[in-house]
Amino acid sequence: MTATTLQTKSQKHDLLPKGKQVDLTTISSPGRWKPEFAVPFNQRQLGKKILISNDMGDWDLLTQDEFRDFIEGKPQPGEALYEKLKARNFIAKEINVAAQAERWRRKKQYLFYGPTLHAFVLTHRCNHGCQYCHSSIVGMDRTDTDMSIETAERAVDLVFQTTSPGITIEFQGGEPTANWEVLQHIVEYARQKNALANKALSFALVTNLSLMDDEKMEYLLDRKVQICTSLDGPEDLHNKIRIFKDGNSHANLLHWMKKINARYGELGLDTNLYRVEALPTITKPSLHRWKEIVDTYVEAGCKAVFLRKLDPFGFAARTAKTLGYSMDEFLEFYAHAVDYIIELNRNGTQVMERHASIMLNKILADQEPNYLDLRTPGGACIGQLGYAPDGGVYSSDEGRFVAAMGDEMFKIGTVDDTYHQLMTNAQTRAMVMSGLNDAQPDCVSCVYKPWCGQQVEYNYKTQGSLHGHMRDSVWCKKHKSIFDYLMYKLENADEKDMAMFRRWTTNRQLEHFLQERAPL
Amino acid sequence: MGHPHIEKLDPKTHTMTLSLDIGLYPADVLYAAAYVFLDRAYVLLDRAGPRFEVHLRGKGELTEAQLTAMSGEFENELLAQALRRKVIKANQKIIEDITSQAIAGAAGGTLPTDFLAAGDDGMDFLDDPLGIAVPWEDKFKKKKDA
Ligand code: SF4
Repeated sequence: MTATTLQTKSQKHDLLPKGKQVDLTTISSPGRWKPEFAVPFNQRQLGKKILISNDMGDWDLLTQDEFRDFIEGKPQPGEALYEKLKARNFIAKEINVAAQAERWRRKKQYLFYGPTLHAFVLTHRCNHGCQYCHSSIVGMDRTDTDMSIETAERAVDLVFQTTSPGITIEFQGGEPTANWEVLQHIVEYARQKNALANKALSFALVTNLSLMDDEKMEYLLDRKVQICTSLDGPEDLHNKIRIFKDGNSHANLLHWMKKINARYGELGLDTNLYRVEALPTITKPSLHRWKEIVDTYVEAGCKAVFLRKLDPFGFAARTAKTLGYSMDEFLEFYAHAVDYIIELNRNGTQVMERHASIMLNKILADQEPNYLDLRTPGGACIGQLGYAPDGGVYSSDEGRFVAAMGDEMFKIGTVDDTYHQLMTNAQTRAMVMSGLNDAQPDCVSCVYKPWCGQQVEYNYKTQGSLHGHMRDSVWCKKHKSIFDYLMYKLENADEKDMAMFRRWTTNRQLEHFLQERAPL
Repeated sequence: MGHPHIEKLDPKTHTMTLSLDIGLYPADVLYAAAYVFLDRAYVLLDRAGPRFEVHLRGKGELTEAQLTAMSGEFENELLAQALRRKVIKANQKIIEDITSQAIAGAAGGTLPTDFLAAGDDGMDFLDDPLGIAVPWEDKFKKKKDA
């Protein structure tokens, strides 16, 4: 497709072109259709081309003539169109069922085991007063909101009952380092348990880095705990949103990021791979500052930016006026920022956007990165669990945020329950079923279905039911628009751009963060 | 009448009564749609001859425009729930297979006996307020009955 075919009247559409469902009757009369020729597929008009996809995740962009021939079953063996469609598994009689079943099994690995991600809320205490943070956060003197050693041990015992061969224990808060003793205890206790369990165990810490000191840093490095933080962009923006009375949050953060990254280098690790992971949360004041936000990340040495929309949980209602924005505003921000990231790459700076990378991984590399928000069924309960300081077990971190707003809908039990009870109770079952694209009216006929997913907590919070309705869901709008955006980019990509997009799909395992496996 | 009718609307008491033809939507669709409004309104479902009645009383103040909008939302929610029910029926096999595999995979390969017998435990919609598990339960009931 040439660039001219994408041109639309307004500048906004050039930035974020939108696809639409094809009315097949405008292309061919129903009497001529040969449904038996093709495997079940979905379609979407993008510019002058028609995107088709099947449930296995194959796709192609066809011209209108090609698409008409396809639905009329005209292509013949040996013809270019037939061979292209055959190679992409669109011709029913050419499908190698065994190979496709194997492929499905590979991509749906996550259906064969339980939760991998275990988010431990070590405390509700925090020394920051971030404007978008969740309402359960309390002052630093409220040690009564800390997770106790006993609860922590029970939670770790539960974690190790998962059928998943891999476990990530993620420390969250509040500021989890405020409950340092319990954090250390969990690391040591889990390592001990793993001597017997022999799972692929890793730890991650989500911290504002304000309580970091050399001793803590060395412990975390020694115990191979991955460190993640929040960096909202340039100093004034970050400090305005992430309020820290005891100092300059931004300066402190960059100081520790630099120091920890340098230590990774000293330990002989590839510093392109091993770095403090930082994430921005996009708020209203961020919207026009996409360039500065990306630049801040590049200057801090980050190789990826995850442009996260403000979620509907937590303080959002109270601060909606100052921080909130529409999905359209976010998408415009997103397109500006990713356009800029692409431009940086073309000029030799390697940096990527994470949503794009996850989606391209599925589209271009035929991989399933098991990103819990973009898989079907979604990750609630069977992909992740959240553990509150009082021992409550939730469907996810988001489920716990809903609880912090006074609604225990996503509490599936406590650390005193058995793992089997948690996985098989009626709530878990309802969440799994609701998080299935095959059970969603719009998703079943959506061209992006093989790569998309649901978050039941988001549906519930924004639309009142676990399954919501995608027709007017902002969740759906976000993903559909980003998929559209990326498909247009792929269609217009030259060789260099394609090489860049393929680079974004390269998944290098962070082996260093895996705990040593015990010899059997 | 193809859509709910506003029988009564009173902004002073922030209440509204909708009525709809009993034959139009199955009861579980009505329950599921009503459930979505629980955070904003107190909901009472009733029958008046050949019609269902839905009494909604706002938890906070609601203007006439807000009440009217709510009735429109209720209409859309009924439609969305009904369509979802159809989709679930059409895709029942794949939904069951994936859900069973996901839960069995997570739980360790075996499902508890009460999981398979869930359709036979005398549950009514109050036990499944989301209206989600109904086709699932139906399926296992059928299997058991067969
Ligand atoms: S959520 Fe939206 S974009 Fe995703 S599969 Fe469903 S309809 Fe498509």
